[in-house]
Amino acid sequence: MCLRIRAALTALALAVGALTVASASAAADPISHPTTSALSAAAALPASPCTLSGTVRTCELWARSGTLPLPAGSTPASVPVWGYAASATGPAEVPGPLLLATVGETVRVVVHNLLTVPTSLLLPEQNLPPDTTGAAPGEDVTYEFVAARPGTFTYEAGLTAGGPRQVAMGLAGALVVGPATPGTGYGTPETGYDDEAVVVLQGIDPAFNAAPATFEMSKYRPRFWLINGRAFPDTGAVATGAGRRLLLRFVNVGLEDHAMSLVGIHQTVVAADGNPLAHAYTVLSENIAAGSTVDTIVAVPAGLAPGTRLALYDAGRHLDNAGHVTDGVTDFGGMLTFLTVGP
Amino acid sequence: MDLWYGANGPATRTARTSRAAAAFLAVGALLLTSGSAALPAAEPGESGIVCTTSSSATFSLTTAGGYVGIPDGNTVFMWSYSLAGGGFQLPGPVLCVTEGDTVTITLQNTLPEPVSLMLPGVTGMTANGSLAQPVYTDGRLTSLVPAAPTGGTVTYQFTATDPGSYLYQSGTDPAKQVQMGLYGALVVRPADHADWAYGTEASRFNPDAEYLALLSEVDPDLHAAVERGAAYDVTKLHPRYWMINGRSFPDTIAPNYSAWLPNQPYGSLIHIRPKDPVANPYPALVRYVNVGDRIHPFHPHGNHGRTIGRDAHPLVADVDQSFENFLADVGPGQTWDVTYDWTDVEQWNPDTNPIPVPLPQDQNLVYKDDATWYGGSPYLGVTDSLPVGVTSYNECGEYYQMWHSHALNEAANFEAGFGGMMTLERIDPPGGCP
Repeated sequence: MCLRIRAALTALALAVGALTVASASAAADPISHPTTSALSAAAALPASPCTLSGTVRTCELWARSGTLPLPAGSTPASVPVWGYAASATGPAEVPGPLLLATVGETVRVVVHNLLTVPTSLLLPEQNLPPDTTGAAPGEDVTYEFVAARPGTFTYEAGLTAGGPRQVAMGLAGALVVGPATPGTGYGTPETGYDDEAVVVLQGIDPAFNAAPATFEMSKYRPRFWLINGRAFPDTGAVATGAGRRLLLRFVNVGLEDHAMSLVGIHQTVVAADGNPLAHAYTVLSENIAAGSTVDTIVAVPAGLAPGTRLALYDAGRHLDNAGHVTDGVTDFGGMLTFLTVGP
Repeated sequence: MDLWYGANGPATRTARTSRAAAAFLAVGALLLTSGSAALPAAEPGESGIVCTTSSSATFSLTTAGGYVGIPDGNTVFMWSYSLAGGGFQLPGPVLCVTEGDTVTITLQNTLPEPVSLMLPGVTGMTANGSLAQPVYTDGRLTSLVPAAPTGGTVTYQFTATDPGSYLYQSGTDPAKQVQMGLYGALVVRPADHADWAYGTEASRFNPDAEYLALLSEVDPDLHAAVERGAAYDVTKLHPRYWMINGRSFPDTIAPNYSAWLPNQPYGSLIHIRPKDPVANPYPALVRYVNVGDRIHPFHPHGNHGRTIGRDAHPLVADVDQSFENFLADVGPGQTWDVTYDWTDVEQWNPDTNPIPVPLPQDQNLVYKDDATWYGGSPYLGVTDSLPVGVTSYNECGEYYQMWHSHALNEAANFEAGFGGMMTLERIDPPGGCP
């Protein structure tokens, strides 16, 4: 007879999104900033520091060092990281804050370099030449582009000499450009949604993070796997509801591919790297290559009972926290979360 | 020695024979188990998918430990699902059901830790009557679906609503248990067309040429740790063996139920004839199922395939989204249904249409280990002499192509090639071999 103890978890009313990384508080909730008033429990985009003036969307980021907490019982308990802060005095965030704009706007991203090495910014899907110089420590650099098309995109430390190591340290995040009329990913009925979530995928190698300048990169091997900067059981659930359409914006700013699968429900792939597909296709598990984005729509069946949990996880089984074991059994960790069906 | 198939209770096993002429295997006896055992309905063919069916879509599985053989002489301890009353087998049985069936799978667990059976691609699966949900013990997640404790049983049930190929695997301590071998495949056939992959004629295939290619990796050191009861560190995973249907090349091309592979019943030889609009109009179907932890870029060398569906979703429904290429990039947790035709375009014939270039001389051909599948002649259906001392496995001038994971480290047994995730496509002359 199998014992089942249902955990008394309340469905977290959160948008899966960027975290405020506090050096002390390991139990901080992922930020919840729902933008829909009708269903405050539904997943939505996290808050973005970008502000609109006329047709110019300005986003300011401060590249700085910080600390990322790891799940309780992990060794180490936290790792040094480099992340983008949303304000001059705010903590480094991993992943960086969501950059959010609307199609047609001129987007101006200002990077303030609080690191001790030069840093630039790379927006691979936007029409910008790569910046191999960036800003010196203490200086700023500004990037400006027109958000020509809606979609899910990436931003990360750019191609200065130390750029790739900076990305591995945590300097990366998601850029979302919404269509003119909200409610769809790309202005089409096929990409219409009720709830949406950004799902940023990364790995952390504590040995590398301890010595980023000198670490031998051929030995880089993440031991912690993150969704939106957290490893299970600290990952945020993705709240949705029966009969609702959920848009999952997968953003892989890690160094490995991740095949993201669901249990008990399928996902329809509607876009890749911010390009809407002419013909969507439905799968259970889809590979999200390193550096790429994939948008899927999950149509939640109408009859699902409130409280139902549907696993969303790395089918390649990065489901541990550095192999942590309790009573001889590897604890669930890493790149795992749940879609939760709300009331 | 573990033996195979006492089919027990309502489950029977039928196989797709690849060629009527080669249906019979000269292999060991079928064991009848105690009680109301039923003999399988048909002898399994040398090659082709081996289905376990049940008139009531009810299957009794049990977990078991056992050993599998690798062509380099090693044996590896593994865990797997086996048919209750049957012997250990890797992978678990291929469960074949029909669209609309209510499928019941009872899992009895004999292993020293809780084990579950998860079908990620199935919606609405219940466990012991309730929707299968993640299990928490003392506030910690311990299983993605309800598990059977040691000595215990769980009954899973679902309605097979969507035709296609599915994987099943343990949802408990998956990084260890799935690596140990707790996996298998499920096939749902459309209600009225057993030779369609999906509910559309565009997915029709040759039922005598249906294959499973279940892809997995094996880290023998981690398996040895389990065998000895030592600690298992998932972060040290380093696979050395690579498998199709639980076997490594060249065992992959051995017949189904080969006597020397008693715990590994399923081969993956693809055995077809040239496409012919009258005699052989429908393609072969390969159901790729990746229960591993990495992409296996499977390359059907010499013969492109058409992907007609993924994860039990057709790509040939209202809109034709099927595509042809030389690689099925099957990722973790994915199933890909791919069809293959081989068309004799040139129709080379030594008398009426000879190959218009000089043929390579024997001394310019290489025979690895003095063995070959080459018949001595490049003409389909023709054999010719080979250098003295070379052993040929060719029967009647058929063609062979090597199909393999194009991550070439996986086409090896512990870094020694050829081996691992590799099989052969065999193309017989139009009339087959005598």
